[in-house]
Amino acid sequence: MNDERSKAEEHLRVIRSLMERATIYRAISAPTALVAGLLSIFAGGAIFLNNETGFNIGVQITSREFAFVWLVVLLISLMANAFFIRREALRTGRPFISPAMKLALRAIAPCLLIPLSVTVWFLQTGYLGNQELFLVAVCTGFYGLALLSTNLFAPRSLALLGWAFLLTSVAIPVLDRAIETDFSADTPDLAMGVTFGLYHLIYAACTWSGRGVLFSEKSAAE
Amino acid sequence: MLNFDKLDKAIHEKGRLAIMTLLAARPSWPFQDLKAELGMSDGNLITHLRTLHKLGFVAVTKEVRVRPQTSYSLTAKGRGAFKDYLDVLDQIVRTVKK
Repeated sequence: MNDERSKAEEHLRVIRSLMERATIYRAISAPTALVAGLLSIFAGGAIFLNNETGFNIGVQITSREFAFVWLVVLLISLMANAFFIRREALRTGRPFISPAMKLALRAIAPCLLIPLSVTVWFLQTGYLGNQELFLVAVCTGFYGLALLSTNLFAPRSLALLGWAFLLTSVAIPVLDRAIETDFSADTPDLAMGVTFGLYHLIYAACTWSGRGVLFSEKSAAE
Repeated sequence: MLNFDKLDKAIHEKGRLAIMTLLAARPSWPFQDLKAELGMSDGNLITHLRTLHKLGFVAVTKEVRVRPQTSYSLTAKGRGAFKDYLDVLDQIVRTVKK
């Protein structure tokens, strides 16, 4: 009788594990969020220190350079993400481009078209009009939407991260006009540092041990 | 009193159980995705899918887009059988716990 029970429990464990693998996909792992968060804090802090204090390279960071710095942060974060996914794939003996990853990429891709085109526009002519804040609001907003587009098969923590980015993008222009500070010129840089830096670090801390123990990791589709 | 004969033997086999579980998780699975997810050989996977198809648990869709693609999904009968199977497993665990 007990043998039957342990067999039944084993089968239920296999079913649960397979179901989770098939229905839940974490597009951003905790290590990736840590790398992206630290890089963003570093980049945001370096630009701020350069523009506002004596620790500088002698010239102010221009609008175009601002965009290039954050593109480099994005590139390194994407490479780190690919590295961690590949390492996990090798560890578990599963393909690097898994069916779940394809599903996530199909959901995310449309949300990245507008930030991509706005970035190209910014690098070509947008930088002339000091539109950094517009660029930041678009990037954070659509990044949030991209994360939310995986809502049906993403853990709850990732959806919360998406909402945090989306709501911040809405708040950025409003807060910028409402709060006048000595650092108003650095609002775009500070906004990038706080969102891509701080939010990712909080997400990494919450999901690091046990991959999301602090949140109820349940697929929204359930 | 538990009746272990209630456990569907076709689903109870490890490979077929994994296939049924994945098919229950999403509306449709292309053959290559199933193979990648389960790490089975072509022959092994085809044999299990044929068995499940013969029992009426699995529906097969063949499409030609850029290249031919065969997708598999659970039929209503298959979904019902899987649910019954889970209920029996659950019953076993609960009964023996008491």
